[in-house]
Amino acid sequence: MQPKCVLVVDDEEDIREVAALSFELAGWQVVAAPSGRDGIAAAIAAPPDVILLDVMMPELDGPGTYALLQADARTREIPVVFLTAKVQNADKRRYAALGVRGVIAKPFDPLTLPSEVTSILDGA
Amino acid sequence: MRSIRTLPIRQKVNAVIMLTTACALVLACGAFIVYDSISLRRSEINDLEMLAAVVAAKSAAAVMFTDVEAATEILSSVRADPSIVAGAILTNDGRPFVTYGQWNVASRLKKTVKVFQPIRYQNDEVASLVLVSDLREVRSGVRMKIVTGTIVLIIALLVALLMTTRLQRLVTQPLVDLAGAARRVRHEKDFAVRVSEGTQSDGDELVAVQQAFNEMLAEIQARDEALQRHQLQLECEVQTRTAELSTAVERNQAILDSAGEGIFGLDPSGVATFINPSAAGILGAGVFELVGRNLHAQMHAAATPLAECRICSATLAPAVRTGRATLVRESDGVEVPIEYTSSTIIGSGGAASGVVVTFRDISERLAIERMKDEFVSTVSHELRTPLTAIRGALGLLGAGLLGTPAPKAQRMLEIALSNTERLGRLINDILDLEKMESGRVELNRKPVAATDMLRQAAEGLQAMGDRAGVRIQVHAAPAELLVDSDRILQMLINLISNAIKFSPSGTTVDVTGRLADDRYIVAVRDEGRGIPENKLEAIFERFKQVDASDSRDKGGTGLGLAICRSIAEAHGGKIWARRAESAGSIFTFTLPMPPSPASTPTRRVILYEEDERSVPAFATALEARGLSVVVAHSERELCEAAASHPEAILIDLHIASASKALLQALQSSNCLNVPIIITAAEEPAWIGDQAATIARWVPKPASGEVVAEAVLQACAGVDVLVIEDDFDLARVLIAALEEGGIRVEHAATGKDAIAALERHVPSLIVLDLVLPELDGFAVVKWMRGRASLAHIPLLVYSAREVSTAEQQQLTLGPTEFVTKSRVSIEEFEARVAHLLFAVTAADHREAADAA
Repeated sequence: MQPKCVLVVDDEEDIREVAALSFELAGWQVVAAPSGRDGIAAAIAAPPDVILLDVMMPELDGPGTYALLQADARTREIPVVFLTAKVQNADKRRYAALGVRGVIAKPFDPLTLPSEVTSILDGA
Repeated sequence: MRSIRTLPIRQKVNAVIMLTTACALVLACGAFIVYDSISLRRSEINDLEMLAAVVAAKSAAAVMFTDVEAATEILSSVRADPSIVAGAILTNDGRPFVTYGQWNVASRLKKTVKVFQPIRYQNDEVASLVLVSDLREVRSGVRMKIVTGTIVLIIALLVALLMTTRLQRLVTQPLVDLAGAARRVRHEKDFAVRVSEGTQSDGDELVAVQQAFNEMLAEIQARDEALQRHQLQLECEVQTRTAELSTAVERNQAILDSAGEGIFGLDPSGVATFINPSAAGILGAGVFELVGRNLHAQMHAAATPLAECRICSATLAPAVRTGRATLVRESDGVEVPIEYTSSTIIGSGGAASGVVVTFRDISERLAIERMKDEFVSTVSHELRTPLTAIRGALGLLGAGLLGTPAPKAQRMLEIALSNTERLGRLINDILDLEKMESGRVELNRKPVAATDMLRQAAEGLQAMGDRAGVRIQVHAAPAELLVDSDRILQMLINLISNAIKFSPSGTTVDVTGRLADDRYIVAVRDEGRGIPENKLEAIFERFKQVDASDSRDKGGTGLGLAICRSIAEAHGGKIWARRAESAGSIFTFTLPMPPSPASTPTRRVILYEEDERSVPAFATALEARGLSVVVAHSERELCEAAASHPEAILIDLHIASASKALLQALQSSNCLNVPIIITAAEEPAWIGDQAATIARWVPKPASGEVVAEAVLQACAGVDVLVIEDDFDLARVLIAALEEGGIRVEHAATGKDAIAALERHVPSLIVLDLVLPELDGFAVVKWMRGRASLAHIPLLVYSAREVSTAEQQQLTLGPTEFVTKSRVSIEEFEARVAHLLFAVTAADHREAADAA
């Protein structure tokens, strides 16, 4: 099986690193980006299998980034999973309404993060 | 006489006495003179006759012998008497024989007396003598007497005048004194004046008058003094009252002035009658500038007719209205958000005399709420971000994927990991609780089987139970609940995991669910150490565990039960704990049962929204309540659907102003009496003036839950006619009923009540027995005569006990009797609710029968 590629977009370097390590240990290829803009550039440069997108980021936040990704034909088809500290049902519903594949709550378990993402993609 | 009447009494008495005296004297003198002159005349005439006889005798011979000379001499002898002016001896044939004096003119002399004496000679009458006298003596005598009499009269009158002037005082002086005293009393109001009383004698009426006058004055004086004392008292009282009143006014003014809330009063035309400084401050103008101005016209951003203004109208129902609105601040034109209570003031005539509006500026509160939300959101993000990194790093380390650590290091990593997880739970719980308690959590109610939910929770905790050696046993009565299943599961997991934690190995945790009336009761029972009696309440508070070490040993956050309580209460239920009889504790919570869908056949709600964004949320919530939803995609579809007798119509408005035409279109499409629920950002001004349509406004943004509840309330479709002449009491009753979401109409008299009943048949009548015009008995009698009204539920609300015979006279449909003084408002509401429940139940039965 070809290793999957994930793009992690988060403004917190520590979290990027932990998430990256978690995916790498599970055999994934990981690209990390520190902001929405960098994330979009990375996604255009090398389209990943999935984008893990932090919701709360300065300047361009998760939903904003997602909207730009949707607006661009090159990135429109890439599934997006939100990574968020807000886990209220209302928030989840709001994100779902935007059209993202899934939402993963912070703090996440690094041991199960890759399998969670996989199951979200499989469930779609 | 007329002039005498106007004279003062003294002169009057003088005049009367003098007149009387003068009359008497004149009469007496007159009589005397007349009598005297008559007798003088008579003697004079006698003298004349005697003279005539003498002359006649003497002249007889001369006449016989026709001796003229002798005859003339004899006749001339009468000259001795000067009063005889003429004389003659006439022959038998009438010719004068001799004459004397002025015989020729004698016949023409006036005031003369003629004396005839026949002259005889030897008994033969030969001639006659005529003497003419002018009675000179008599006349001068009479003249003399008149003069004397007059002099006597004058002297007598003078004497009389002198005497009357002195003597009349006997009579007039007391009268003059009386008059003087009376005048003084009149002019000086001096009731201490007395007249000097004459010595007491039985016959003197004047003394009696004086005494009576004095007594009268004494009486008047006494009364006057009493009156003055009274007046003084009254004045004192008035002063005291005025002082009290002004104190009260000052106090009220002080209260008004110092009140933090804005308060102003408007007359029915919207003009401010008073305003306090807080209100003036919020409105951005001075108190004196605003009083007398039309506040309604000034303070609203959008122009609404006064009669439709929920804040300013004195005629809009209900009489007491509360809500949120925005007012324009005059100084800078900024719109200030406010929360207001507007109360109609009923004047003594029973008509609205204005409104009093109490309001407060809530912009700060709204800002704080916003800040709080932002803060919670920020905290949630800021705390979770580092926690995520720590949790991730520790997770990777602890799993040994990055190299196997030494056993002690491994243990430290485990401690760090479990505490990180606990910290995460703590943050989640605190935020969760904060949201639950501030009421901002939306419940996602859906029908769910109670048995499934209880089993799911137990199964989820099976592994934990197995580890602790505790068996979980579930006995659940089947029931369909309308709850947010995530939340109830959270609560169940919390309670069951607690039970497991505190249960010794080898014991059982019992989870039971049973149905009781309108509630579903879930109990979780353990056989652990139990909770001390004095902590049964406290454990539901934050961080109040039975033992402080529990949170460390058992991994709890100390917030679980507090969250459970919030969840139970958000669902309209309760939660409590008690000690089990043998050992351990029992945690019980209740959930209200939804109205049974079996008894409510398909109830349709028409849902119309311009852009259909909220349709899924509203439809889900409505369907969860057993209502079927028909979505209208255009106004035309809406009007068509509305004509098919739906349970209710729900309209989501984006532009409130455009809604009136829509509502009119709906009304014309034959759907009168169908409740209409409007959700809009602002309350449409026309709400309340559509008599036939029951329109409700739900402010936006509104959750599906809130809207669905409003629809259900409107669908309940109950309305009450309150017939009560006491406006204050009526207002209390109406407010209590309206708070319960019941529409209320009010009639103050029996006639009004009948007029209202002819217009519209309510679900329930609250009737006061004593009413003006027609009393309660008459109203009931009238209703009994109408098929549509004869079986309406009735609550007779009277001041006195109603006898059994009277009760029979008053009974319509289900009827209850309540004595005013014996029943609290709460009990009154309960009775109303009971009667209304009977109504809806009967409706359902009818519907079921029809089906």
